[in-house]
Amino acid sequence: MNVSEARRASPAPPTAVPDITALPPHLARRALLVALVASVSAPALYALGRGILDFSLPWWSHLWATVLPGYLWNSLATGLVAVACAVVLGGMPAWLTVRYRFVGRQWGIFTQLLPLTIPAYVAAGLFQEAWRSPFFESRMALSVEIGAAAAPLVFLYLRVALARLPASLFEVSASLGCGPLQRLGRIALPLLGAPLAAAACLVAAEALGEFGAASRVGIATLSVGLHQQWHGLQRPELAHMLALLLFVVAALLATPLIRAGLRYQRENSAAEQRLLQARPLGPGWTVLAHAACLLAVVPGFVAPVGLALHWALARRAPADALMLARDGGTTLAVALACAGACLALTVAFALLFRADRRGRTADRGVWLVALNYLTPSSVLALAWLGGALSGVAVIVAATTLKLLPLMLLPVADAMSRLPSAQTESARALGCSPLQAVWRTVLPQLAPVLAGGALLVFVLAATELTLSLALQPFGYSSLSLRVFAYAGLHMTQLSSFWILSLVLLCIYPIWRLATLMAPSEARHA
Amino acid sequence: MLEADALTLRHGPHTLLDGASFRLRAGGRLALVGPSGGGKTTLLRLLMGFDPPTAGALRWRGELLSAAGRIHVPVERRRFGMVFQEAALFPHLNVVRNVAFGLRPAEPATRRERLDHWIERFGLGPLRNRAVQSLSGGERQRVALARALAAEPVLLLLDEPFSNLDRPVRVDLMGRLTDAMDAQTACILVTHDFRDALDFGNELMLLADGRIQQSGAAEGVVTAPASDWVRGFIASSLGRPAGGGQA
Repeated sequence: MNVSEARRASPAPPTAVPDITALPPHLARRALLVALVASVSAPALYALGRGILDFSLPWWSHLWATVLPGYLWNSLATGLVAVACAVVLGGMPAWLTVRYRFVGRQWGIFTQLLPLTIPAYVAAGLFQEAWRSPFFESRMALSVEIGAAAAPLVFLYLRVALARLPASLFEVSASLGCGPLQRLGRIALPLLGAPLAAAACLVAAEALGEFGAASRVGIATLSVGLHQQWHGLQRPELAHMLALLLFVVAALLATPLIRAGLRYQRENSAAEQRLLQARPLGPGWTVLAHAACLLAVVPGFVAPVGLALHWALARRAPADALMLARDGGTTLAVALACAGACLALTVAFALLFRADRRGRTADRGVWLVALNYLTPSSVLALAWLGGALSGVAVIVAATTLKLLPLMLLPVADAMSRLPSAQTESARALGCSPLQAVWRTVLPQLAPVLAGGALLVFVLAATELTLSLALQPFGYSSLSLRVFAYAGLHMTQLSSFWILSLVLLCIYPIWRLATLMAPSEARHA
Repeated sequence: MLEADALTLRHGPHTLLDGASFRLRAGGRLALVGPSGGGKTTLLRLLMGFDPPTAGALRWRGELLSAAGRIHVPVERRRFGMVFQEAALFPHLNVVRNVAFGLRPAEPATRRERLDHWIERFGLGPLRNRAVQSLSGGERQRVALARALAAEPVLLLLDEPFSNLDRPVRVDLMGRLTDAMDAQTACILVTHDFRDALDFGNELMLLADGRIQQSGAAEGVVTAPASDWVRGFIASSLGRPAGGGQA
C-alpha cells in the first residue's frame, strides 16, 4: 500500500475541521483584510472627508480666537501628567511582580488590574461628590484620575515586556563589567524603550479621548469641545473640524506606537531564550512590595470603591432595583457580544492569515488596527454617519472595532513567534492549511485569546463615550446611569450601579490575573 | 590561577554539581566534556558568579570569589568573559557597538584602535554596521567572541559556542579564537564534541551526573581512562576504543 492509499484508507483525524465556507482561503483572507482596513479607515475617511468638506477659514479663525488654544493646552497638559502617573503607577508594580518572587505575588498582580473596573469618569464623580474641593475640579485631579485608570494597561504591557527580557543579555553585560545600575541603563531601559514608548502613547490616547471625566471635572479638552459643538451647540461643522484635528493627533500618536511595536517584534524575534528568573524577597521586603502594589491602586480603585461602598451601606438599597437589574443585564449582554465578536474576528484572522505563508504586508498591516484604539471614541462615534446610525447593534459594532486591537495585536505578536515549522510539520502529516492552524497554532494561542477576550469584556462593560453618542432612545447601561447621576450631582445614588460594575468585572479580572500568573504559580 | 575546591550546587533535593575541585593556571586551556545535564553549564555559571555555590569555595589568584552560599566578588568585577551558546548579542546595538560594549576605559583613540583590532581579528570589517539580527550563526558567534575578548578578560568561559555550527565554521572559529587569545588568558571550553575538546585543550575534564569523572592532560585521559564509564564515553565519542590509542 503506498502513501496515497494509506491516507485514503485511514480515518479522518477526530478533530478535523471542515473548511469554513465554500470560499477559497485567499478570497476570505482578502475579504477580512478589506474589512479590517475599512474599519480602520472609516473613522479616518469620515473625519477627513467631513473636516475638508466643512472646512471654513472663518470658522477655524473663530475657533482659534476663542476655545481652541484652551482645548489644546488642556489636552496636552492633562495627557503629559496622565502619562507620568500611569507609567509610575503601572510600571513599578510590573517590575516588582516580574523581577521578584514573594508570598502573595498573585494577589499583587490581581490588585493592579482592579482599576480597570473604575473608569476615570466614575472616579471623577465620586471624588467631586465626596470632597467638594477645588482640587477635584482641577486639571491635576483629572490627570491623576486618567492616569490611575490607565495604569492597568501600562502594567499589562510592561509586565509582558519585562518578562521577555533574556537573562543572557544581563549576564553577559555583567561579565563585561557592568554593575546593576549600568545594566539598568545600558541594557534594560534601551530594551524597554519600545514598550515604554508604546505604553506612553496608549495613555496619551486615553487622555486625548477621555470625555466623561473631563466633562465631569469641567476641563475643556478637545474631546469635550467636540461633544459640546456636536450635541450642545448643534454646530456639526465645527465638530467635524475638531474631529479632524483629534484624528490627526491620534495618528501622530499611533505612528511612534506602531514603529515601537514593529521594532520590538524585530528585536525580540529570536527563538525563546532563557528568561530572567525572579529573585526571592525576604519577609520585610515582601511587606514593602505589597505596600507599593497597594499604594498604586489607591487612587484608581481603593478610594473610589471605598466611597461607593460607604454610600451604598448608608442607603442599604438602590433607588430602583429593577432599573439596576435591567442596566446590569444590558451591560452584561453588550460586553459579552463585544468580547465574542472580537474573539471571532481574531480567530478568523489567525486561521486565514496563518494558513498561507503570511506576507510582511499583513504582518505590518495588522498594526494599522491600533489606530482604532487610539482614535478618540467621540471621533469614532461621529464616523457612524455623524451619529445618524444608532442602536444596540451599532454600539456593539463600534465598541468591538474600538477594542479589537487589544486582542488582535497580542495575538498577531504571539503568532509571529511561533515557528512556521510547526504548521509545516502538520501539513506534512496530512493536515490542510486551516486544519494545521486549528490544531497547532490556535491551541498555543488560547491563553492570549482568553486574556484578550477578558480584557475586551471589562473595557466594553465600562465604556461610556460610544454608548452616549450612539444610544437609541430608552437604552441605558450601568455606565450611562452612573454618568447621568453624576451629571445631576447625585453620585451617591449611583453607588449601587458602580458596585454592580465592579462585581460584573471582578471575575474576568481575576481570570485575567490568573492567566498572567508566573508559570510556577499556575502549575503549583 | 583558578582554584575550585569542592564546588557544590544543590536545588532542593537535586544535586547539580557535587564536590568539583580543580586548578587552572594562567594561560591554561581546559576542555570540559560530558553528556547533557552533566553539570558543565552549572559549573561555568558558578565560576562566573551568576549563582553562589551551596558548598565549596572558588578563588582566583588567592582572592576568594564565592563560597558556601555567598558571592564575595560580583560578576562585573571578576573580569571573566563568557560566550553563550546562543551568542546573546544585544539586539538594540549593531555589530561594532556590540564589540565595543565591554572595552575598558581609555582615551578615545586607544579605544578606537582596540575596537578596530578586534573587528579585524574576527573578520567583522564588512559587517561593522549591520544589525545583529541579520547575521548568520557563525557571524553571530564571531561577534560574541570579539566582544568577549575586547574586554580583555583574564579567564574566558565558552559555553558550547560552536554547537549549532557546522564543522568547517567551527574549525575556522576555533582557529581565530586560538590565534586571538593572549598567552596569559586562561580558557575553559564546554563542549559535548570530544574532537573539539581534543583540538582545543591541553587539559581535559569529564563531567557527568554533577561529578568530575576524570581530569588531567588530554592525552592521559584518552590513553588511561580511570573508569569503565570514561572508557565507554570516550569510545562512543571517538568511535573507537579508548585506552592505548592515539589522542
